[in-house]
Amino acid sequence: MTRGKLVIGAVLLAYAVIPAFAPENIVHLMTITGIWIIIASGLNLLTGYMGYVSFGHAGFVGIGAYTSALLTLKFGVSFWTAALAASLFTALFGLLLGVAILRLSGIYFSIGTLILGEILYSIYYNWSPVTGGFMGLNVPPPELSLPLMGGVSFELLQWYYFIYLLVFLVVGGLKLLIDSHFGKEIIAIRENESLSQSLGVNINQRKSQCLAISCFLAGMGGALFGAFMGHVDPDSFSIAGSTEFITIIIIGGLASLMGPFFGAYVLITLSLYLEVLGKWRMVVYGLIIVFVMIYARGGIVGFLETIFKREFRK
Amino acid sequence: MFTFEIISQQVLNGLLTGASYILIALGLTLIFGIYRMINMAHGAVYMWGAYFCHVLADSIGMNTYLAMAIAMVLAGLLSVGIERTVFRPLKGCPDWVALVAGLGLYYALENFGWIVLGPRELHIHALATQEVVRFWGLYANLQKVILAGVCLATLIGTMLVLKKTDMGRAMRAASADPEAARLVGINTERMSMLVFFLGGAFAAAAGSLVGSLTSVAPGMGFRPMIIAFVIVVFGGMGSIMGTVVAGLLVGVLQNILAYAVTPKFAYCFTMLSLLTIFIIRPTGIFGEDK
Repeated sequence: MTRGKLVIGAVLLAYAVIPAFAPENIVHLMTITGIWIIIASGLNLLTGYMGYVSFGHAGFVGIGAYTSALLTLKFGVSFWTAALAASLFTALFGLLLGVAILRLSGIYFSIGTLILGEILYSIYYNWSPVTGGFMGLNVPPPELSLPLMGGVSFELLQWYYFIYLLVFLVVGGLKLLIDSHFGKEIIAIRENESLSQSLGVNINQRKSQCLAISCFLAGMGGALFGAFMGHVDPDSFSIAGSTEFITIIIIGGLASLMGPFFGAYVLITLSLYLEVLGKWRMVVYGLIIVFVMIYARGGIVGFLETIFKREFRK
Repeated sequence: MFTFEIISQQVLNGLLTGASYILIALGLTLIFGIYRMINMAHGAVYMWGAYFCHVLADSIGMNTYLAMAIAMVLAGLLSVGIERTVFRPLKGCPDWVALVAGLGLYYALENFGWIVLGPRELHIHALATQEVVRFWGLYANLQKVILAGVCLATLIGTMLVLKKTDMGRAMRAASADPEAARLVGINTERMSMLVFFLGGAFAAAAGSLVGSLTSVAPGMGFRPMIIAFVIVVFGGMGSIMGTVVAGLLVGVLQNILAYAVTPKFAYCFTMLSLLTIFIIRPTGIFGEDK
């Protein structure tokens, strides 16, 4: 256990000092990776732990991104309130949606979320007066005023630390959640839904709650992504985006807290190196997804498990 | 605004749109019937079929329909190649794995299309697109009527093969129970190759004809593929009659909505209505109850 704490401490220290050495574009990329980890962790809760594969997750991310952007742009709400409101709104959306779409299970749930993803993308793309259509919206940078220091500008470095603080909180929160009774119940749902129901698990309630939490993190990621990039446009929230999130959690390893972490880094690093391929980049990227599906469904965590002969997930 | 003529014109347009969806969905249905997998790379085969047709008809100068026939064979082979390399290793995996792999392959093939085709829109020259057929006070583009004819011929041909020939019986057996079919000596691998070949060929026919009506572009396959996919699910996964009815319904629904609401949101509303029905009845209109 102390070794585990030591590793966590070392990782935290590494993250704290990295911006001092790393060039700016790396810090930028790591910040985006952090946002992806938050979103992918939410998807992992739904897909990895509960076994419901969502093909519309990028659509949920879009709800958070657009809600937050519209609140700051049209209503002059500060970014912090807007981001929180957007996350809660996405969670509420997930909760209400769950009543309908969680009637479906297995592949039917995947198909339902895929259709939903298309609907959401089509709304983002076509509802120009509100979403700005294919041009998207420009989001003003967040402002922060602290009691003694006055206004603090929110630059790359602040973003970096802020995002990784959130990543730490999210992963920690999810760990508590997975270890709790709730976590055991959603894993039971994955293993055998009707059996867990007969053992007294309120499966409908648990499934909706799980979807809502997953949507909350997606909405939060979306709000952060929009504000960090300074721009929201529909192409980030298409089915291609959802496929990417699924690939992240599979590369990392399903139902593992560290999975989204590894997965996001591998995918971001890959896309960085693939830049040299120029226009072949997306072709190779697609083929990597195929390759992972055929040869590496256990993911990195599965690979590490076979090497170290230790369980990293439950 | 909603006179009888206009509505019937919209319904006719819808049926013609539906015909192109059916051609794409028919391949998916056949593949699903035998393979129990949803081929999400199908839209890319559709696009490449249209591109092959463009090269043969416009760059080489072949007759459009001959070019289409050759494009069908080429796209069929592409589809068989996809089966061999991607879907066969995934047999026995959870359903969604094939879905993700298919999407990944779709993106690879679409972006390869961007490299080969470039950013410009290409055209397939066909005289029939300029002709209009008039009957009962309704109008229809000749090429669309040809598309509907191809669709009908394909459907009747497929039905006849499935019902009357030994090969068709073997295919239905392989679809009903792959294990037992293998036991009685049916080569299910050959059946799989056959359905992927046919699926690819049908998609190429649809792609070439739709491409001649609009244009050929790398991204042209995604939406038709999603719609066809929804039609297959909606028609009860693997049922040909269900696919036909669902295809026509979706085509008509989309055209009516485009007229009644706004063309921009027609797709969105169509999908929304389908999602609602899907949630109420997941096994589709023709599927068996779970």
